[in-house]
Amino acid sequence: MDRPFIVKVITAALAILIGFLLQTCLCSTILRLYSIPNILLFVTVMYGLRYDRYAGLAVGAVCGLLTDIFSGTMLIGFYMLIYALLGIACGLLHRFLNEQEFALPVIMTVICDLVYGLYVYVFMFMLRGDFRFGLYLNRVIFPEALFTAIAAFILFWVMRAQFNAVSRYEKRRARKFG
Amino acid sequence: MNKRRVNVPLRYIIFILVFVCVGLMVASVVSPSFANAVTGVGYRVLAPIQNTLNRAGNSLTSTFSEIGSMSSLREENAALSARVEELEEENRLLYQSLYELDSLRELYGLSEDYHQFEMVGARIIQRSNGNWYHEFVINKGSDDGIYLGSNVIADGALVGRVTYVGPNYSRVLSIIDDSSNVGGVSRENGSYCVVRGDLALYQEGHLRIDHIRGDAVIEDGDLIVTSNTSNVYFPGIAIGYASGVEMSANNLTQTGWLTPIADFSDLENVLVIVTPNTLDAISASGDGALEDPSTDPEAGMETSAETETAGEPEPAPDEGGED
Repeated sequence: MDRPFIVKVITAALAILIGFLLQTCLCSTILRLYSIPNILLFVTVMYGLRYDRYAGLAVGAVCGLLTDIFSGTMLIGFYMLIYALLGIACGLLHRFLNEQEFALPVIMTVICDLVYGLYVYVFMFMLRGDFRFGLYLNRVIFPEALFTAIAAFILFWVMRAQFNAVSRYEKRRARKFG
Repeated sequence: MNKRRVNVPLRYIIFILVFVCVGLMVASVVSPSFANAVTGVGYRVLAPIQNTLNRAGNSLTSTFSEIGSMSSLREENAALSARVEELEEENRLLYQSLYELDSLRELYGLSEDYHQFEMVGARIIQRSNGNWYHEFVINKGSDDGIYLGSNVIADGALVGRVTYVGPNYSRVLSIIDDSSNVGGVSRENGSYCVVRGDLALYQEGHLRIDHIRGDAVIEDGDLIVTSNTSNVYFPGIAIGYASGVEMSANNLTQTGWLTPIADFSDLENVLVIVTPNTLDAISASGDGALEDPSTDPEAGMETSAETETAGEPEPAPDEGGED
């Protein structure tokens, strides 16, 4: 285990924790937003895009597990699957990323949130015989995508600063020992 | 660029991922204790941080909103004073009836009042984390006598039931959650119905009621209370007011809306019933208190859940809300 890898793991864990607390405490309990942005999904997308599919997979699995635990469905693995898959998908788009531009991360976050909404609708609602897709699209999926896009736009700059700091650290270390 | 580690083909990764996740899902369905254990670990680690942050944030926002609401408070105070006078008068009348009721009860030998629940007050410390479910966490748990399935009440009406108990916190699935089903009964004439949470309807402030018998009459504004056919909910707890009940497409049952009494968007404090909910407790406390036997032959003397639901034309409401 090299040191930069450990630093990356620790910063990823911190990013997930802070994203989780922003989503569950600030947006949900304190501000009581109309629709709660999916900040954990944004963190997953960012890690998938910035590093590779393994990073997307790992961060997505952790974020999904957190959602599983705190969603009250008592079904471990359900959200984990979709978060990890979306993380991998973003990892495949890594080579298109310009690290300083916000466009791709924000667009990918919105697309992933729509896919995520579709997944939850199909497996939690449609399979129970609830076919009012338009209703859920208007009332849940679109508002969530909008709020998530706003949150992603704001948080992108924080994440970018974090990524830049980590890569500066990596370069410094590579110069010293490389 | 990172130096590449072993490059596993994508399809293997996805295959393993799906395998693991589906395995976890099956494990948590087959043995709920597994899901409980995982949930317990998550809560033990993260709940303290969440609580601290929530408390700090809430006190901050309440300070700001207090400053903003001064003038409206003055108006509200005047309206409330008038209301208090009204209620005092009503209360006086009710006391008279209560006295009469007590003496009549004594006459009939009915000593038990169905409202004698033991309750603890609790504060909501965490709300839903996403938009697809409605559940919240309260700051009391098994140390205060809360058990799995405890009924939760606010504003004098049903709010939900406890689905996970920790030592000093518990999670409540609210009745507006899409997976929640509550057996209800109209207080006016004893018609049975099932109150379902509905994610889409809730944003208009409604729940769904269905499985109402075709010949039952439920009018707008009828009070729906929990029925005595449930082994999860105590009988006779108010849920809300019915409206718009009409024949459904199958021409056998009726469906409608229900406006809940409890204000879910504004919940701060709730009461949790800690009286054990066994069938004995129900039959001791139920007394068939609400049903008018003349309109519903099934709603008679028996209080065992099984016998009564068997008499219903529709399948019994599955109270658990499990999917």
